[in-house]
Amino acid sequence: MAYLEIKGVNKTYNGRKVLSGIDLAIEKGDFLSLLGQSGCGKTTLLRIIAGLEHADSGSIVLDGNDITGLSAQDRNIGMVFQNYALFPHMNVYENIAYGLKIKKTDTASIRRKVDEVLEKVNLLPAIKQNVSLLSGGEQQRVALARAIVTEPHIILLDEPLSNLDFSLRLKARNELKRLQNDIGITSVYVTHDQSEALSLSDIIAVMDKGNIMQTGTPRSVYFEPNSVFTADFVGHCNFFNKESALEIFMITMPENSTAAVLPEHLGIQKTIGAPYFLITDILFTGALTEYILSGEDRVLKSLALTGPAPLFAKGDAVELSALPANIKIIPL
Amino acid sequence: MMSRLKIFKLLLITVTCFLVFGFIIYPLLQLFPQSRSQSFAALFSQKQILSACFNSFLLAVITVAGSAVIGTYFAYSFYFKKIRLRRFLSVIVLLPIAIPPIVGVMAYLFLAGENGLLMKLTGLKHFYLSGWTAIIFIHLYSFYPLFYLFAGNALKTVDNNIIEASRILGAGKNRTFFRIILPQLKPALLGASLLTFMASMASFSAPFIFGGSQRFLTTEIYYAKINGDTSLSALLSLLLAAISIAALFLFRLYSKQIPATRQTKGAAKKINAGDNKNYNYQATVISILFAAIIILPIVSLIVISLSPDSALMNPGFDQNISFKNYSELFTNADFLQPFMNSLSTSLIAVALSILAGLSIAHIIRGKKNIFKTLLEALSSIPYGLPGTVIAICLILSFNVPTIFTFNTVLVGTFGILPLAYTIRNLPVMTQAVKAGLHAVDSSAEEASASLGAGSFKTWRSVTLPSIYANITEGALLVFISSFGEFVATVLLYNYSTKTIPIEIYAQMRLFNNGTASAYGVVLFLIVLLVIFLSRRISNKKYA
Repeated sequence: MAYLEIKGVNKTYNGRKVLSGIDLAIEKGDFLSLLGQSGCGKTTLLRIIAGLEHADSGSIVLDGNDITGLSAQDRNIGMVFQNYALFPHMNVYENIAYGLKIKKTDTASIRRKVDEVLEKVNLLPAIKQNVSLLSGGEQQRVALARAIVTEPHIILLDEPLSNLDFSLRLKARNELKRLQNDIGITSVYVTHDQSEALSLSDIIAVMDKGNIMQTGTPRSVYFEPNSVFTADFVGHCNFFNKESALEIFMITMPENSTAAVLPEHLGIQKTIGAPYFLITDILFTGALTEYILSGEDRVLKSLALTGPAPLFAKGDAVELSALPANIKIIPL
Repeated sequence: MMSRLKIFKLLLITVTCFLVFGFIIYPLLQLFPQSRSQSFAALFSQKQILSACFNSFLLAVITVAGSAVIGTYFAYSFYFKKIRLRRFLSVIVLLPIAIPPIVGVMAYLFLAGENGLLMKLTGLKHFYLSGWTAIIFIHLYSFYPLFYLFAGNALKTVDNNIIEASRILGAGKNRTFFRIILPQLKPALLGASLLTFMASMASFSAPFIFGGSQRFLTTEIYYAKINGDTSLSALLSLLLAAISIAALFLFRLYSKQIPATRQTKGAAKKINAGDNKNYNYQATVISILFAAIIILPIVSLIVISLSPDSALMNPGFDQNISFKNYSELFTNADFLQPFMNSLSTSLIAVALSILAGLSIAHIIRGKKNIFKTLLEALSSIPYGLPGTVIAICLILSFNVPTIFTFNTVLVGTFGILPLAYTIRNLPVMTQAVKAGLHAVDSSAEEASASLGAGSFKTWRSVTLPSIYANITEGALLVFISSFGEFVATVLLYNYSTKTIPIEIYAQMRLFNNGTASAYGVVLFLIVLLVIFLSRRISNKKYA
């Protein structure tokens, strides 16, 4: 039996179905990401695991115990909130010690454990500081320390990086990855950012409209999407119907299917013959250059390593190519 | 043009300062010479004075503690728990605000006093309210809404995520409440505590009617004055004024220290009791029982007002229901007089306090300086002064002709009542206008001026309309407080200037309970009507 097992979870708000028949299982030490757009139900699922909300039906088993009916305070779960939810009237030490005090830990052990966890998140010097005086990144680390110090079965993270600015977010992401490797604690992470999910997770569950569309390793979800939604949301794929796939790539596909090609797998060459696409925009982002193409009433995207000299100019006519192995046929 | 404006401003400042000095500072200063013949040392050697001080203090402490528990409980319940009839109940718990103290005292006397309705109907002859129990009961009844409002507003700023974080960390409901939620409410509760402490120290009606042989500071001042011991009443007033002003000062100091924002980064999640799936029946039952306790005195007042005056005097309960008391109230000239007096004194007080409040708020507007700070501080002193003390000050100052009263004696005239009400409520009005002016967009005023509008025109067409709502709000508070004023009035009225609260007291002493109740009900209904009307007006203004 898996360490965390979610079976047939349903949730309805005011007649609107938020989660329909969610099944999910992860092993001890796994890092699972729930990836989806806002409103897809990922935060609701996280709150149901936490016990902050209760499912209309279905069950949640953690470490062999059915916790479906338990309230949040009895689940031994850690959680990091999007706005960190630090207790504003307590300093860093008191925030982290709060959960330990509830567990009736003796003062000496509390002191030792708080020191240890602050060491891990590189915040030991801030131990006596008022939390509202800390920077966003520091607050995020205090929230993380508070969640893991009680050694919970599992830790839940609700978009913990989304309130940080971009450069800090990348740094915090690497820090989180290092910590997770260090501690090896089972984690469920909610995000709408596919690059965060891909870089952090052992397993990704892609969610859309209250359903789990696909579950798998980051590589399998990225390279082997089984739905148009996953291919689009995770890989930003280009899509081709039966006719254009035959015309452009000269492949035949079954009825009711679509061909998906990742932007970095979509090659472009200058052409004079039809069918061709026009380069309408070139975005230079450093190592990669992004080409926006238009034709046949739609817009495509091609991604290539930036070369020493520009290969194309705006307005160039190009034809497309892709290796057959890189063309994923997805049933509709 | 410019110079005419300057002359007007200078004139406004001079007149305002003259009046603030004449009617607030000067009367307060009169306490010193009048009390010189007594010394504090001699005062405290008198046993009854010591016990009055102790009783007033003890009562204030009990009132604060009890009101805090009740007010916070209901603020918390209505915010967090799904309660049946919540909208209705949350209106009911605010009802005591609309009940003038003397009416509340009378209602409790008729409901649960020695000959009260409850005793008559249930036969529980020995459980009637009297003495300390009665006073504390009435104080809690009158003062918990302040805590309810303060705590309720503070709860709205608490981030629901920190409550959930506490629960996930293993804390139960109680620990989460005491360790996480309550500390967030601390500034609000402390503020409400100081205000309630002041109000309880200043309370007169309940100790006066129910006190019996127990002595309290306010009633001691009254009895000293009635017995002709002016210097004792002045000295006690000085003592009470000092305590109240100290509490007021602490409140101001503390409310300045509350940091503007203590939120951590990111959006705070609002708490929504509607998220709870199930109604909380325990909280519902408690709330309904409590609402019954609030409504019962009002119901009993209405019942008594429809009964003959002697209803409570007879062994049984006479159930001859009629509107006789009311029809008498409005046909008999003797009964109508107090009604007209209350109405006219209150309206004059509202008008005067609007004028004075507008002037002071405009003068202290803008960049701070020592003069403005001083004017604001001095003009807000009456907020902390018990009505008894204000009355004593006015009597000591204006029983002789003064320059402030155009060389006439004010004591004993009709004019001293609206004056007393205005002084008592000036700080409320000033604060209301000040808040309004603070929110006025000064760029709108500048825009108007740049379009060629003169100063007065700009004020008329831009500034004034934006503070109408605040003036209405202030006027409402002044009217409610003046219309039910008993404490100062009982020391200042004469036979021809009797107001409704005075008449209520007089009728109660004559055991004309029916008539007294009818007056009480009329008073209560008028206050409710005024609240309702002003809500309508200000709602329209906002829309």
